[in-house]
Amino acid sequence: MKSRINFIFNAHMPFVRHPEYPKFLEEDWLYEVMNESYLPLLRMMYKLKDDKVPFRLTFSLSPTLCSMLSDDLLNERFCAYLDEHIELGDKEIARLSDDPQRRSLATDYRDELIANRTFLSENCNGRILNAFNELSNDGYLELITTTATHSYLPVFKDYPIAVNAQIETGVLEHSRIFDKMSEGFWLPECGYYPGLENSLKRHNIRWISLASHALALSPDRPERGAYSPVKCPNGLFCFIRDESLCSLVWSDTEGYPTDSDYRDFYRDIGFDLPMDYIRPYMHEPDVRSFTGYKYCAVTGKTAEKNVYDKSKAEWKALSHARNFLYNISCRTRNLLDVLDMDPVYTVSFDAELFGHWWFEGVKWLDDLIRLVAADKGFELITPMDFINEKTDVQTLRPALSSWGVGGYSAVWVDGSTNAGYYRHIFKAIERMTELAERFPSQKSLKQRFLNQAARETLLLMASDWPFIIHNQTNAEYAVKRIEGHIQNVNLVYDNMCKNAVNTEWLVKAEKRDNLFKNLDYNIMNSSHLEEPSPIYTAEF
Amino acid sequence: MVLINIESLSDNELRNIAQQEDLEDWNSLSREELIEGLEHLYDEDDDKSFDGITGSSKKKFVNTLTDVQSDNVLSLPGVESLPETYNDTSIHMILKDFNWAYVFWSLSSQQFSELEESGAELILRNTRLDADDQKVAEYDIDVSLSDTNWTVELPYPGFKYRVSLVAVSGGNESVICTSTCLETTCSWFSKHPEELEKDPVFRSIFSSLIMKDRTVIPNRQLLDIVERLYDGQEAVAR
Repeated sequence: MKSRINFIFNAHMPFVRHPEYPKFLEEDWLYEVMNESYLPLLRMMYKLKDDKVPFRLTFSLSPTLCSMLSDDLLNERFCAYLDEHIELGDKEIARLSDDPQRRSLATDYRDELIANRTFLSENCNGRILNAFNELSNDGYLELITTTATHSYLPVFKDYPIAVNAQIETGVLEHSRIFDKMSEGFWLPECGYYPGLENSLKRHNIRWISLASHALALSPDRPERGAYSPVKCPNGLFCFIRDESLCSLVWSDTEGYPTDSDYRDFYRDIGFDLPMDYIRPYMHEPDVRSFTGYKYCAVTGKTAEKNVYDKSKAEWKALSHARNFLYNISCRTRNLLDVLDMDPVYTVSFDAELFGHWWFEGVKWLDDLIRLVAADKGFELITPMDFINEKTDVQTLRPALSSWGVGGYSAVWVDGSTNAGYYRHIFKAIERMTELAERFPSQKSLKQRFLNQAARETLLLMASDWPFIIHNQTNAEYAVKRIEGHIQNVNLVYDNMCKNAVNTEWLVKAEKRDNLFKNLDYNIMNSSHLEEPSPIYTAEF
Repeated sequence: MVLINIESLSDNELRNIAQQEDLEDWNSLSREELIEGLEHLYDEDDDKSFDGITGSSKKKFVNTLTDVQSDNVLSLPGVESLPETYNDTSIHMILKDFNWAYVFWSLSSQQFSELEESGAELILRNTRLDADDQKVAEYDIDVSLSDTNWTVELPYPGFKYRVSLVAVSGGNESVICTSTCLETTCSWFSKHPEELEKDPVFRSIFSSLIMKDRTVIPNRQLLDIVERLYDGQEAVAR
């Protein structure tokens, strides 16, 4: 039996873009993952390609992330971010002249920044998405899309027009950016509810990935467990996430990233050095933030940390890659007499885990891919590889599920911190639908006004805001964003009801929330669901 | 997400977070007191926001000592703050968990005044329906006119549920508004527990649900299935 591994990476960041400020703290979220995850992952994959190592991986690139990665202003600011942090690296190398261990780490960080900047200009032509597209065209990656703003769909089940708008915008954005259809669809937070497959089928989606209890708790008897994809009754393929394998990596208590030899994420000179020294790289007024210059190993639950030893950590990453494959091979052996096909192991993670949160994650993945390439007992596949083989799979009705804590929606509707916003969010959706139906096919200024309201509605539905509020991390910003988008929809509603357009607001809003340039507000008209999808062309 | 252990934060970081969280006397507390205070604070948050399953919340102790910079939308003409109500009468139910739902409602100002004047009592009625939408059972929860939300239990999987807001006055009931139906599902293994005793079933269906620490993933419905037939440890050990 061959162990077939289906890696799916969900790359997503909420839309954070504030041209009204010269420098904005929350925009650093994007620059940090560009520098620490996306570019290192791309460089790793280009190196594999140069070394002629075969691999197949799937990346979901969210439409909000794609919008930001295509944005001139944010790309300019990212280049400035790189230059600023290279300068900080030079400063650190000088400061640490008597500390060879930390000095060596500072040199590595600075050199990584330089390598990223070079790769961005030479291999990506200034745009990260170009490199993803090239790897896809070369047959290494399957690129897929997700909902427009990474909206967690089960909570919007009663609003099929809004669910469709999220899906359709995601599919259209993907085809606009990559000039090809997305055959798979990443369900944010693996959030699924029975019936969602029909909304996806409308857009020619071939497959989704689900949490493992979607299968174990199905009203139908699963035949092959998570080790084979299944089909929904309408023919949509479902690849079932293997929670057991994922927990080897993604556990805050026992996952590989918690190893004491790995680099500590939180200990950063941005928080540890005097403000007078670090001020030029911080946000005003003296707001400390991450710089990426981190010299400590995880060590343990102590404030006294060991200095990070890179060679030790790299050796550990290789060991963990071997351990991951060892676990898979043990499982495959156990399945020999109960499975009538090669098992498919679906493992999915947020892409930002690799490099950003787990510094050695990129090295781990690189080691794992090279080990797989050298071992005939393993194979990397993408969902479309499997589907194209036309293997017979079971048809089954998946159960309501998500990968959130508890397996359902309790993170996004927690009953205390974030649930109260849904009365406003639902009302905004209802108002947007009402506007689209009362004022169909508007032209000029009113059309722009309504298009902007549709953008604000989609942004309002992002899963990020309730998630952040639930976790109480940057909650103030998330609250501000939710309330801002609600106010924006209400403003358009109130104005349109008076047959007015607030042009001052419109110009500012278009400049700030400038994503989904082709969005047509008529997508929120409920009659839109009765029309054939504009992108529904191929056979399903 | 990779989570952080609070003990590993530096003293500076702890003080920053304590200040951000308005922890009393944050500036004069010792390291141990800061950790204890913050853990207490976050535990309270967890208790408020989490019902049922033991597990880690995805909390990250990130320093965000900034007064959030954001476009001040309220400074623009014609923009008002969030309305308290939208002057309509409606009720919604969102599934939180497989057997808990968050319910919220609103009353139009006219409806509110009428109820207030009549002195009617309000009831939140949870109705269980079968596959043909026939009523199977219902239970009532007394709510007040000032209430706007409730978390309700959906005790039996495999049924549909809907909630209604009902006014009761002088022995007469009138339904004010009713939500759409929520459908819950009953898993095949819940209906056929004997199947779980077959070892290949466990290996092929449930082995992918066992975490690295040899526990079943924290999902109440799965735990119920496993606990019903096995001692939990026995199931894990197989």
